Amino acid sequence: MGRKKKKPSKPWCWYCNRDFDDEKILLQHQKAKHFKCHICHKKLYTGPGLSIHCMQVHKETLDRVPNSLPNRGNIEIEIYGMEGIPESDIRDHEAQKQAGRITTAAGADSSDEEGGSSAKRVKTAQPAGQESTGPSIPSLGSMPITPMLASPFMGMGPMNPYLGHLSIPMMGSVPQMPLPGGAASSPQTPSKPLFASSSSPSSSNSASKPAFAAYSSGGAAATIVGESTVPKKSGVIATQAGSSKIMHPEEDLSLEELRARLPRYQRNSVPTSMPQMSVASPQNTTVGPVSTVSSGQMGLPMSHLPAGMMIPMPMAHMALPPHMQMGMGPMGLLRAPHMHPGMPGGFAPYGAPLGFPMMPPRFR
Amino acid sequence: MFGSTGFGGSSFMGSNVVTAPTNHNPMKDFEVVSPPDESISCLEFSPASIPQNFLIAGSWDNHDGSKVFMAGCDKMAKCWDLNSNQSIQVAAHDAPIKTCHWIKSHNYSCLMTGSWDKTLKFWDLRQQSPILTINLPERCYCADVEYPVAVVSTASRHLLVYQLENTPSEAKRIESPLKYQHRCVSIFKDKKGMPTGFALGSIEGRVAIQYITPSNPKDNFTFKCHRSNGTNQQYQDIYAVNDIKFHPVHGTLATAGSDGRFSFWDKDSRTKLKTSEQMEQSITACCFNRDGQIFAYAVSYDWSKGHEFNNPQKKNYIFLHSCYEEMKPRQKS
Repeated sequence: MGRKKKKPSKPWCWYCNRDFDDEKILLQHQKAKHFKCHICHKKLYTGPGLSIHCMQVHKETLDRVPNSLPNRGNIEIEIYGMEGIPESDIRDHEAQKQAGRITTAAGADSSDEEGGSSAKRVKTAQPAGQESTGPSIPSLGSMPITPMLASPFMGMGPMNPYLGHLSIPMMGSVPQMPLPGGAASSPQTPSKPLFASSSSPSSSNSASKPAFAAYSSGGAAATIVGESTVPKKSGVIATQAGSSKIMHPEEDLSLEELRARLPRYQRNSVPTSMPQMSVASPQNTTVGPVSTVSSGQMGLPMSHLPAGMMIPMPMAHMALPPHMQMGMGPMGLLRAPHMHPGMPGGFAPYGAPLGFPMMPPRFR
Repeated sequence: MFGSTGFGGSSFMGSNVVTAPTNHNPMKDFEVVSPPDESISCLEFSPASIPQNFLIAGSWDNHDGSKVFMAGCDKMAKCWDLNSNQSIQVAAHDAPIKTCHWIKSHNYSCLMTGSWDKTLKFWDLRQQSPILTINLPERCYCADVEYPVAVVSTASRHLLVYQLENTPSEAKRIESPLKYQHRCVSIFKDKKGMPTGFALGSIEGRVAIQYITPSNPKDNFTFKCHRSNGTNQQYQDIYAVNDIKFHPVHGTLATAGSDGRFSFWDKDSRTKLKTSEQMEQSITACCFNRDGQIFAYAVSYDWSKGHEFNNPQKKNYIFLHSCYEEMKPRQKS
């Protein structure tokens, strides 16, 4: 985008901020998602049209547009495709898009995939944050840039999952905006230190990838070395959005990783590096005192065991630690007729033939 | 032991199959006796070479069914030889191993392990070191293998497709069709039996059907699933898709949700075939037996509500559901 040519931006839906290839598709989307009566499924043409229909036909009042963002639910605003969108929202949207492009450029050292998806993620995060950037950006005109940039970030970055994502595009967006007061040139410098500081609250190492600092594995990359495999600082998932809630913990780790934090799964280690055991244990993310105590307990007997003994703990425990895929069925097939088909206790006798002694129960 | 076909034929247990309808078994399916104490992470039926159906929470050596591979958070993968009842370590990573699949090609056989240490390693069981290591952009979260294709998905929603002929190599990276963390992936085949695409599930109650080389971009689509209160209501609870498996005969698919339900879908007619009743806990794993008669699903806690909701007292279940008729594809009208 070197030239100043103003190419028409892609159509986007005012209600939910999604982008579309052309206006026809946008219209179809709006009719199906926002202007559709939830009672009789009739598709109307506008928001006010829908509200009138519901009142006249079903005697029901509609106070917000279905499937819309919290700040875009006003049923009285008449939007049709790209027509009717208020000026300020158009400007906001352009700003967000610019911000999306900036973060893609900032994260340019990563692969195309990540860049592309980070831009996407920035866009998905936008709707949630728009309510705050919307009113705040116009008011920035008279304020000096640096403190303004600092405060929203500081306040929101570490706390609010939405705005944590947004903090980066925000900082990117402000310098781009044609703010009055000759702010055009000055924002360049404040934005740099802010990018650097953006990585500190949300992750420990993302200096090279500020765009991903607030997201998922930005913090994880540094911590996946040696013994500690589960990142301690991880991004968050926007689990609450409008009227829906994703039933998932907010940390952007897989469920198995969250489960692997349990003390009993922390007691694993690469058999060839026993010393790692005692180092690894204090890193339990569970309660501090407990972990040190348990490490004390574990450390001693462990050190006496040959490396091979490390193995059976998760195995002897009949239950399956995360992604511990253990066989149950075939036992019937094996030449072990004494094997009680019941699984939980059943595994224990196998500890012997496999050459592993049974571990004391506390090592479950 | 049970017979080899039919509904009752797939348990290795004695005859104490619970069939009485109780709250925990709303589908009135056969219940596997004495399931594991802990959450079940994966289920697999035995391959066709074994006349009887045996169900394991693990991964079979694809062809002769004599070995079971187990991978876990002890950063190792083990091969359990069922004939000798010996288990040996066959793989090691620097972090917990999330996936393990057996690959059998005409000129090699190996075990593919994907780990949170961001590598994919291929192991010849006779050697201590991997015969090949491929770096992943992120921690491996899920994978599936249908020779000659392997699909791996990692944290940060990366999607990588590998071709496995001669030497495994990366074939392409696909931009994720989903906006949330990937959780499970399963390859499907075309009518000729060649792997042609995969289904990808995320934590946001959504599945994407993606063709590796689509003839038409519109062939790829996503659909929502495992959400409460329907899609028209204002408030929705959205649950993760924990597992996806394709029916070996019909080509239709089953999804197992964190909401404690499983659903059957026909991706070609883009319709839902059935949704089950709700179980007491989430369904963490599922699979079909080789002839597609039996759908097995495991009910246990998947950690989707954090540590607090883990109740070790709550019993886990594995149920077997007769599914052949239910999973027939819907005729496109």
